[in-house]
Amino acid sequence: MIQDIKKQFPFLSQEKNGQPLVYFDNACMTPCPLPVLEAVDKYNREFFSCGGRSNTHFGRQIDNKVAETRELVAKFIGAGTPQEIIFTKNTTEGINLVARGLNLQAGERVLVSDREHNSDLIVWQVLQKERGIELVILPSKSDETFDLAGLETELQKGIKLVSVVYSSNLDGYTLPVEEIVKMARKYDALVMLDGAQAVPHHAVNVKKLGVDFLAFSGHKMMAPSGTGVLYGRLARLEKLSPLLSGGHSVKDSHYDNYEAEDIPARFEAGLQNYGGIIGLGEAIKFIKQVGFDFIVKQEFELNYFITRELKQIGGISFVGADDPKSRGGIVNFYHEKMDSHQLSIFLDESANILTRSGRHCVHSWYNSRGVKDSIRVSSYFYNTIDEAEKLISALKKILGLV
Amino acid sequence: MICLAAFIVFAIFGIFSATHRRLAKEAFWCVLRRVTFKPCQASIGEILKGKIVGWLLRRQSRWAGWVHRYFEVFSWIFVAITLISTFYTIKGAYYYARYGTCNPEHPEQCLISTQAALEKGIKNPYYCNDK
Ligand SMILES: Cc1ncc(COP(=O)(O)O)c(C=O)c1O
Repeated sequence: MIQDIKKQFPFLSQEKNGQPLVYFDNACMTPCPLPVLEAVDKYNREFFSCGGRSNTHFGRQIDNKVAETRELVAKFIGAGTPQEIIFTKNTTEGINLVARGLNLQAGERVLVSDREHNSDLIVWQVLQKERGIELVILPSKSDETFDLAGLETELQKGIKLVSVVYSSNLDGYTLPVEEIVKMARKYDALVMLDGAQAVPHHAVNVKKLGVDFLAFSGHKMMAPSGTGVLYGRLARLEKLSPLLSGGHSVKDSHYDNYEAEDIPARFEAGLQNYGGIIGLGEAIKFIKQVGFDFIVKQEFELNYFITRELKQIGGISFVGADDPKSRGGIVNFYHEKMDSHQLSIFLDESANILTRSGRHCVHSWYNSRGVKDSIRVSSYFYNTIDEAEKLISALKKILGLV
Repeated sequence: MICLAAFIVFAIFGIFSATHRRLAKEAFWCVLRRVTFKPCQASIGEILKGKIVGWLLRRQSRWAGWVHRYFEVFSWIFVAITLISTFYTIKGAYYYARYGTCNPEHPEQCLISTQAALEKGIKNPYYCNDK
């Protein structure tokens, strides 16, 4: 099955120096399969036009496609209505839209976990400086899992918004979001989830969860780059101020006033990435075809295999939880004697294996733990055990240098 | 030291290509240690080392381990050889401009000696010391 799936990804069939590409940087970006590429190409070639305001048949075609995709996204994440789906350019924009749009006041408290991507940390630090909000960072327990008791203690002191990562890009750990949302509700706090690493990898249902906001990126789930979604409960969106204003976000304007568009257009000012949005729709259809059962199973098998093999190589330390079951498709580690950047470059240059090295935009976690950096292997359903074996064999060869 | 080696190589290539000029600039800042290394970015030294050792690894070369271990030493040797040859090139160019030969003591050993220098040199091998 995987080989058939793989054939749908032109990017993955490339070779360098006679070696097939092994792509293990899926937590950063995922390649587009043929249906996505073809849909975007078709848009650019056949009905490229001005969406949202053009009365040509092409303009209408775009509007229809965008509306279809909005519906598809809504169903995919279990939203109540397509109105609750706002197209953005990435997760970061979605989080910023909420952070700025809530109009938080001085002294209001926002809680984040201690393993947030910079996308869900820096904006709060900026608001701390600009508006005097209070940022609460909740430390993980000693086994790197989420501290629910600690959350309750903070909620009792008063929290306006809990904004946490759903599944972490640091170690793949999925937070107990159901319990988090339930607890936050008890204390009247809003909840926003950073779903960048969750939505592409396992089933998410915002309605069942009862979450207020969920942001995620299309380019981590096989859609073209520069695509993203912010889900917001309608009642919450009605109270949210837009991040951008301008064309398409108003019904009418005068020199001294304007009339805001309805939701979601109100939040989508300016011409949009229509090709990308259409591609996102196709990517979702592709995921549905593959199915989350298969995705979860495949990622776990890969994670289990890679973890087991890495444990046999000396000098390796893992970032985050030890158990591969709790780490989705991510294995993040460092070697005591070889620099992570160097290791990643060696894998690329010697074996055409792409990984990611550095601090994975969770600098704060590395700084607090005194870990310099690490190398992250992140898989998706099209990765195979054969590729994982290649990775391990290349790693052994490289680490044999030290 | 790899930064200096990279700077020299890229500066020479940079005469012909804008890409290499950019790399030369990066290597230059690396030499001056003014690069603010971001934790998520590999240095130009790591990238070059990765390319060289990676190439050797691909060829199953036993040299890979050596080059990896003694990369700094190899970089020093490379820079020393480059600096010495640069010194002699400049010296030769200076002699050529002044005397019409890059080797005034033995103009016949310099491929680009002018006819006049050759004639004068054969008559008086130490003519450059002539006042
Ligand atoms: C958990 C998480 N949050 C946020 C982001 C930011 O995503 P984007 O750059 O698409 O906004 C990422 C990207 O790696 C991520 O992994």
